[in-house]
Amino acid sequence: MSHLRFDTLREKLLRAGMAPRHVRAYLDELSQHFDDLMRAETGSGQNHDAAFTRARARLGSEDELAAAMLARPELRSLSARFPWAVFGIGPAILLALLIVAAVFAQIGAMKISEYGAHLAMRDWGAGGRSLIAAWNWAMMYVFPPAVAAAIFGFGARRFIGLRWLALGALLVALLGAMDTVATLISNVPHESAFSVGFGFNSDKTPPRILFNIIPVCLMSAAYWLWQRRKSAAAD
Amino acid sequence: MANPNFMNGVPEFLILRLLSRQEMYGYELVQAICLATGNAISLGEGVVYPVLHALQEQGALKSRRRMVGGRTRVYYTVTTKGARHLASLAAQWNRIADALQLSAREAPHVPSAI
Repeated sequence: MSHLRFDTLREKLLRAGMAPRHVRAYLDELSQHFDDLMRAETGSGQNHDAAFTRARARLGSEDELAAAMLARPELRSLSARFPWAVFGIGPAILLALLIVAAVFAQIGAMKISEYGAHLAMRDWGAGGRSLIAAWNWAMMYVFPPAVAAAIFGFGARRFIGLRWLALGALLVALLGAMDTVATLISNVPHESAFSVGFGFNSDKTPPRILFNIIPVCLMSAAYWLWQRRKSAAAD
Repeated sequence: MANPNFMNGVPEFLILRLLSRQEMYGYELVQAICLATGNAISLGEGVVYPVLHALQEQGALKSRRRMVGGRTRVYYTVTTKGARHLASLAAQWNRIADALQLSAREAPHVPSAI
């Protein structure tokens, strides 16, 4: 009914570090409130244009509405209050959790195959072995750029500054280059092994860092351009 | 009254007091504030929501969504913690009001010119 949009207010609040869930709730309730004001104004005999103007004035100016929320620090997001923790520690924890989840998924699949389908790993054949190899490769080479992309996606939604996102993504690129995942499939029953390691290897780690950093640089450049375009549009 | 210096704590007090009597949604609450204060407080009506959300974040209010006439409304109500907070605010405001009344009763001192 209202056709009143709060795009500028939304962006202003998110840029100031307000939590997206609070911003969303605020704007939803403002829309509802505006609809009620429109009903009240049209109900009192105003035509649509006059009702719209009066309802908009009663709701409050954009500056007034923004200031009311900005005055409430408890409504700020965690990433605005503790960026060093969210972008300095969070990505490393996320990467570690993803790897642990992927490892357990692989172990679970092996156990189900062995005890559920009575098919030991050594009997998986070339297809099964390729699948395990691809899974391990993904853990080492796909997870770090994927986590970096998630960081940039998370940041874009909150209009977070590039430096924090780049910091988080670079940490993931570095840490993600140091893990090693391997599965040894033995023909001897119960002798197959799975290993996960973490450490710097002078031969393998530098090329992997490079491999991880390239997408991070590309994402940083894209984010920087996106921010510039948004700023230009706002001006 | 729209002076922010005089408004510190006033919206919280009014909101908690009105919501302690009955559950209300934002628009309803704003109309109740206007009625209760005789339109003495002139702020944009939308500014009530950050106060509601902050009180909810502090645990003084809780909300629930209800469908009314085909529209979703967010109804707020005071929690036990909110009721305690209201009692503390009321005591503070009573002390301030008493102090102001006392000072208003005293004759203003006008220095005489020599």
